[in-house]
Amino acid sequence: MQRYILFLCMLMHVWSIKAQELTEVSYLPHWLHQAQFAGYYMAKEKGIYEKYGLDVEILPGGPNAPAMEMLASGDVDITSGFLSGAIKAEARGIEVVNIGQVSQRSASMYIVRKTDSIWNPEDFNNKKIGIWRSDFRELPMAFLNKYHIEAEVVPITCTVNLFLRGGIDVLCVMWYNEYHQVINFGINQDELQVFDFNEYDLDIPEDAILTRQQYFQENTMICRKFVEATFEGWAYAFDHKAEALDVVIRYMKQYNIPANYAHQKWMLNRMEDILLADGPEMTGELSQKDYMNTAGMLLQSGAIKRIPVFQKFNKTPSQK
Amino acid sequence: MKTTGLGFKLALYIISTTVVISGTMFWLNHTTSRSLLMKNVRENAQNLTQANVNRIEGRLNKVAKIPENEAHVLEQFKFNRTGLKDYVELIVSSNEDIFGSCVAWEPYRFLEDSLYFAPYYYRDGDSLRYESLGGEDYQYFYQDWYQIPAITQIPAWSEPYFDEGGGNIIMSTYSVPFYEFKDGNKEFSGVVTVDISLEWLDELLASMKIFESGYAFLISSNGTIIAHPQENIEMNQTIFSVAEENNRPELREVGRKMIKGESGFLEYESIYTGKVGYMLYKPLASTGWSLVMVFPKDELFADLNELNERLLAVGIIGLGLLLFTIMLISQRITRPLTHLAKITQNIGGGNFDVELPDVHGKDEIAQLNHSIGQMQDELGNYFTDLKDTTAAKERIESELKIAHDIQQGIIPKIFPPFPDREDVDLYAILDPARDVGGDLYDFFFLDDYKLCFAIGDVSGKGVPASLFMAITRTLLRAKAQNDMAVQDIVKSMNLELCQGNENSMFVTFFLGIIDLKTGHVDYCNAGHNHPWLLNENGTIQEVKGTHGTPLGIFDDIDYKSGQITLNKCDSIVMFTDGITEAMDKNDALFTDQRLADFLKDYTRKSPKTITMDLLREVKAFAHDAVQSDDITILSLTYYLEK
Repeated sequence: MQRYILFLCMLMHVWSIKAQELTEVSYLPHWLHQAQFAGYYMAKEKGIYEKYGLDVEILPGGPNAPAMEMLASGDVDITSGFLSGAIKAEARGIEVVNIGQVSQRSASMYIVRKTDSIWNPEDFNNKKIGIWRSDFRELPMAFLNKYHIEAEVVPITCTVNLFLRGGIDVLCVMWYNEYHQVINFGINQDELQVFDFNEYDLDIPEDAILTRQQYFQENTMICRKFVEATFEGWAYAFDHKAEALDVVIRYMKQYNIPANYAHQKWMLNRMEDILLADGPEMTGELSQKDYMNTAGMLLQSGAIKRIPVFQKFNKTPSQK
Repeated sequence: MKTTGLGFKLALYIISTTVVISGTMFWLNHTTSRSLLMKNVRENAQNLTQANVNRIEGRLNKVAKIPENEAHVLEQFKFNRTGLKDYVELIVSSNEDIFGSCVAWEPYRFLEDSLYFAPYYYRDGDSLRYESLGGEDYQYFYQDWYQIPAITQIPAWSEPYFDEGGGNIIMSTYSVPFYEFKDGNKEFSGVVTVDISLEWLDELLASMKIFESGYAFLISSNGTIIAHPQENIEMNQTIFSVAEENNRPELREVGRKMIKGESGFLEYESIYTGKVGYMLYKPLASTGWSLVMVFPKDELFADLNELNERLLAVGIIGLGLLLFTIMLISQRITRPLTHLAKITQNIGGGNFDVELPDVHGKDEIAQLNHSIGQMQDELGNYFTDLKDTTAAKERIESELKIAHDIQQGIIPKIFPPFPDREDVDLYAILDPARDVGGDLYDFFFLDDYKLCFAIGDVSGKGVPASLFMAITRTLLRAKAQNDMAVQDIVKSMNLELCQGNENSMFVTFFLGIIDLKTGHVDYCNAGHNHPWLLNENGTIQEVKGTHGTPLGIFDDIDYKSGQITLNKCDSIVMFTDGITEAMDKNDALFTDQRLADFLKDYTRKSPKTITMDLLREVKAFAHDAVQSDDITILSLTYYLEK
């Protein structure tokens, strides 16, 4: 009898959600569709956003849709992006706030071919170093500043071919993405020397969920729900990797993005390593220390002239 | 027993040998044809792949010439803006193979006030379109097609890509850097490019007929699969991601060789078809791409396998036939053999009249039949002979028995011989090795107090010796006279025996005459074993002295004599060499020493006890050994007190 009542209650709960008007939210990932955003896809796919009263539209990201600009212009409600990119945008006058810190550590690294005999940061001097032209370049630049490296920085857009063809000696990669691309272009892991930024005191958080100051003020609950639902989506994706990968591949094919299962599987596994590095559950919190480290790094590199006020920028779950 | 007969063994050996021989031939044939086939296929595949490599490269190289010439022209002539546009348009319109062409300049190089300058003409259906590339959202300096040749300063084919504007076709761009020569310096000005569609690659690969389920695919210089019959992996997968996804590390290793520009041939289980087969790959030198051909083993070896199956079938039928023939032949051989075996068994049972089968021909069976017939005849003859021989033998044996009785009859056999006399006692025994023997003993009184006693041993045994012994004994009785000395009796016996002794027989002889009143003994020893004297006081001594050669050898010999005197209860023991030379199973002799040791304990014993116990002792010594010589013992004990 008790079970029957419980079942009725659950049924009514679902009806009440269905009955609610869903709030439309647009979300823009800060790069092309891939497993880096599996949590968002799964939150949508499994009706988690809906459960939270949200009707989320996931837009196609990539070099042609820079997240900060799209956010500034009001074309999207919520984006993801690097913490450093967000601070830079804030310093540029885009009133961006962080509503959920997804990753708590850096996935960036430099790779070199062992045959080039580059073993220490000092060996980077007078080399050609490939760094992304975009919001993602601050951390690798900070690495070069930290070790006072005089080198030719070659801006690159989105392929690792210049590195593969020997046009550059050092390539900045994301562990979950380009690192594995290089592996999948036939270079073995043991042929690469890796400079993991975490091991060079550049352990700064990366992916964050961002929105405009104004949007946050007007839709605080929606922002909270979006973050909560997204984290639930991530938990689901890590628990159901095969299913999540199928969804990721579907998104990629829909947008004609070269999709390959092995690479996306690698990416999803690395996302799990990164997002759950500090514990089995994602908190979404941004600590003031991490914020100051990141902003300080940007200030030092000259990317920003002043550090935005933490309390104004940080609207992550712990700062209710 | 029947199952392991000759037929079964014959079949087993022949069949197994045949299987081994034909199996080896089959294997040799198979491996040789297989390697020949492989060699052929490999060569054909090499040629086919090389031909297609050449076709692809021919086409790409022809296209590559266009921007190389353009770069040359740009380095030689100075164009104005319109002139350059017209030139690019002319290039595209006059080369049907190319999709588009562009001359992209370094910032502010062509126009001092413009960051970007890149006139681009491309096909849109039948007409040409113009676009000026470059802008905030398309900074061409950072595109692979520009950046790679700009930095490496080497003309390069780009990684193939999906053209988003041109209807989702795979394209590749060939970019050639060009320079400005100023005051002897070479300054990088930009790159000239041509784009070509790679759609024809799919058709080209599909046209490569590689059995039914073989196929070819093409990978780019970083391993990306450009053309493959499985279209959904084109441009999505690299050979390395396929290897990773399917957990095939060996494919990754092969892929690494491909992108290094190596060529190779290996066994490969296709992920696409799931079939085991071979992979052949060759590089396209101009692009760094590789053409890969995969062909299945089952189709490759289909004809060979079919041939093998047929050979196997023929082999099995052949073996069956062979088995049948062997059974037939072996039955033909074994049937008469079994019959003959029964017959020989019958013959062995003594039935020599069994009729042999009629066997024709001259083969081994006929020979055997003939031999058994011969054997049957000879056995019959032999058996008849044997009957006669046995009868003769039985007759001789019965005669010998009679001779034995006669011989035993001529020596004194009743003991005690002189029951009414108290001064002397005698006991003797003669145990011939065969029915009749050559030993002898005798004793008789010459008068009331003189007792003559003798022992002898004729050389040889059997009937001749027994006859010689009979003569000797008769001579002794004839020659021994009351008043003759012992040596004279012996001498006269010797004379007689030497006459007409054609067979050179001889006899050792001991003759003694005892005077019972005194105990005095005269004796003559003609080559005989020395007797023993057993004193009543418990000591023994050898009766030494040899007084001449054995009788029957030299007729002109004078014999001498010896004397001893017996006390009361002294005994003389005489014997032949059948005692001392008695042998046990190991051919060890009884010896004089053993005899002496025995006699020590027999002083003051009766002659009968001495004689019988000595005989028993010798028989016990010889045990199971066959008696080789006649045994004779003569014991005499003197009882009179002096």
